[in-house]
Amino acid sequence: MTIMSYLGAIGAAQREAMDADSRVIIMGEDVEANVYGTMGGGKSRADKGDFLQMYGTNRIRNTPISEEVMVGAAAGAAMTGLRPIVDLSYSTFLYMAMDQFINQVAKSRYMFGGQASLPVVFRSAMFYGLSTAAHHSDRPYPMFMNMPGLKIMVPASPTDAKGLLRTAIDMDDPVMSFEACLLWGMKEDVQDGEFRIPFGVARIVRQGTDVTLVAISSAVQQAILAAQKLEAEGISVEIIDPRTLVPFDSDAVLNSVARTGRLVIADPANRTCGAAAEISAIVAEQAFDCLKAPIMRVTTPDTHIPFSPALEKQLYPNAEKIADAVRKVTKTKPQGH
Amino acid sequence: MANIKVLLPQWGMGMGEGKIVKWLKAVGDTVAEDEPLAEIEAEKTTETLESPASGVITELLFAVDTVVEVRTPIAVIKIS
Amino acid sequence: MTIPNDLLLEMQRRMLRIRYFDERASKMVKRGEIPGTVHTSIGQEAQVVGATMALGDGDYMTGNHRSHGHPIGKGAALGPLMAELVGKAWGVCQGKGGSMHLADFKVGSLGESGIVGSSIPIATGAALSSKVLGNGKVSLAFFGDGAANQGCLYEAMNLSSVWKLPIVFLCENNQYALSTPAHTVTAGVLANRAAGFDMPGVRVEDGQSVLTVYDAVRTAVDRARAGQGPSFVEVVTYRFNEHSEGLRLAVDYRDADQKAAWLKRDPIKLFRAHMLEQGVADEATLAGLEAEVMAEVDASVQFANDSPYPELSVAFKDIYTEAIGAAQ
Repeated sequence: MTIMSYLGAIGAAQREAMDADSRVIIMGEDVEANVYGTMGGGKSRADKGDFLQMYGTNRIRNTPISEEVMVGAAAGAAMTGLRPIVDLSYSTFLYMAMDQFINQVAKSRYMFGGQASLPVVFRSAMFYGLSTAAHHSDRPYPMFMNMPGLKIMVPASPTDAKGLLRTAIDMDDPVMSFEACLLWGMKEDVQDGEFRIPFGVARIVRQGTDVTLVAISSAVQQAILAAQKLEAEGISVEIIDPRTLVPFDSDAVLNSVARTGRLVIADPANRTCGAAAEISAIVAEQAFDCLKAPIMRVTTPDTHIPFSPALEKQLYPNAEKIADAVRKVTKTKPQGH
Repeated sequence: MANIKVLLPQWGMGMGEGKIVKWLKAVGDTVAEDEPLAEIEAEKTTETLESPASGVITELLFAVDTVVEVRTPIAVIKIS
Repeated sequence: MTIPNDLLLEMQRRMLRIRYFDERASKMVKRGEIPGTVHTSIGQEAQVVGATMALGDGDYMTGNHRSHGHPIGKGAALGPLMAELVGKAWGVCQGKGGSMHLADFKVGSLGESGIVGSSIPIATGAALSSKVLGNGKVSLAFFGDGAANQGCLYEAMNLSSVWKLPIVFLCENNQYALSTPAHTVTAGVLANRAAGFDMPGVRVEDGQSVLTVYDAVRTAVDRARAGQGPSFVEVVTYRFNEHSEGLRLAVDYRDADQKAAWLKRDPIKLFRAHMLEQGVADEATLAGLEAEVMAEVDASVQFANDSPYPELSVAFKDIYTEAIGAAQ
């Protein structure tokens, strides 16, 4: 076991993949200088583990600010023998390349009758919660969930980030990785050596009997805090982290709801048509008779992200809002009221 | 010897239907490919529908003044 | 450059294939045998074939909705293309793509895009992979005068130039984007934009001459293959038919005199006359070639007619490499 940060774990996965297969390349803005901490050892080019030193400029490529051609070229390269990892910096920048994501990446395998394979990974950071305002703070994974052909990972721990990314690089489908900046510094013991976590398999973060709490990305940590508080109030919460939204492990959620009868979903995306909405629909359709209470969603409201921390901090799902939702579905009152 | 259906074409992107203004040929007539077959009113203009094939007209499926949706078969030609 | 006779005959063969295939497809649209519509390359055969034959068999290509000529020009088999147009199971894309989304990876045709300009980054990526892998392949992106004002073209030109990618940007300037004359929506001369991206820009004024086009594109392809980077080739040509088959616009948007002048310059007739004149082939050979190609097109229609339609399950296939759950 080694203690790794979330970013360090991503770097470790990338390094393993680069070592294992010369067809893997990394392209994106500022990748040569390791600006985001996923491309090497430390602060100096001369540091051991610096990717540019190890792999050179053929396989580590700084791009101009050109999201459309970055995404499309990575797709075309993937169709013709490379396995690119594209660092798109921040998720709010993805929109510059929507046509390429939707009309090329998502559709090519299908439209061309299976002739195209796209082993490409698109990574971006959801830079919310850190006073960067509307053009940096989006959590757009639900938009991409709606378009078949894209796989989506939302790792919430260093272990998951490492294991899922390795799987993503090895698979022949295009993958979008959404990484919450609030998790960048999170540290934990990560098992040594190469390991892969399959897509479509949720992680049971905490076992419980009274309520199923599905939490996505940064909401997982908040869910854990909420569950600890609720335990003291006599409510036993089961936390499920789906880890991947496409494919989504609906069986894990349905099996849990069959036991608990109650579902709360904590999703940092906007409320309308968020991942929480889809999960609610799945459970309502397939486990209606198990439900003892309505499904509740704890999401960011349908608003853009304002700059002032006096405003922003109150918008995302947090431990208190999640705990309130659990109390509602168990019809209990918070202690001290 | 095969029969082919003559479809009302979609001449404009927004065209959803057309009215048969005049048949220029009758059942039993011989028609050559590209020869005018009917006059159609669509989107306030009258256009000539040319025959898509050479042969003998075996059926005219709609009467004059009928409004028909695009891509609906409106005649049948037995091709030679 | 001197081109051997068999190559010249192959150029005519491929131009004839495009012409007869597209003429047949046009008829089939009128009869409702091809669903939707098609965008023919009739009149543009020299522009297409001059470019596709400047590429090697292993080289890559992408294109757009005016698609049939591209894979045909690159040597694709006609049967699966025709079957694709009618949406049958034996179609090159299993009936999932149709006319606007043909692809034949076996001949390096990486896909025609229904969104104009959208496949230019894909071709750029194919050039990136050949650069990284060092395999010597060249990539060519076809796009029209309309697509030439899409931003992604300029992102691709910039990136290709900075990374010295082995790509040729081939602008098929048939002078109209649907009904819009190119010069009314285009600042300057398209080929002149290349200099701004530090790459050669060539404008071929006579796109009806297959050898002139071949010459210009071959120069660009050779430059790319030698590791010298990208080029921009603009070929001026003219589509003889309407933007799409069956379309009848109320307004006559093309100048009658201009049209008449271009219709006189049929690339196939011109090349035929050239070959007779130069003694490349005699009348019997050329007539034989025409009959052969017509028979090929007939056979492709038979192949398409013989093919079954795809099963419904095919609609849910190849969304991913393997199905991931209830899509329906």
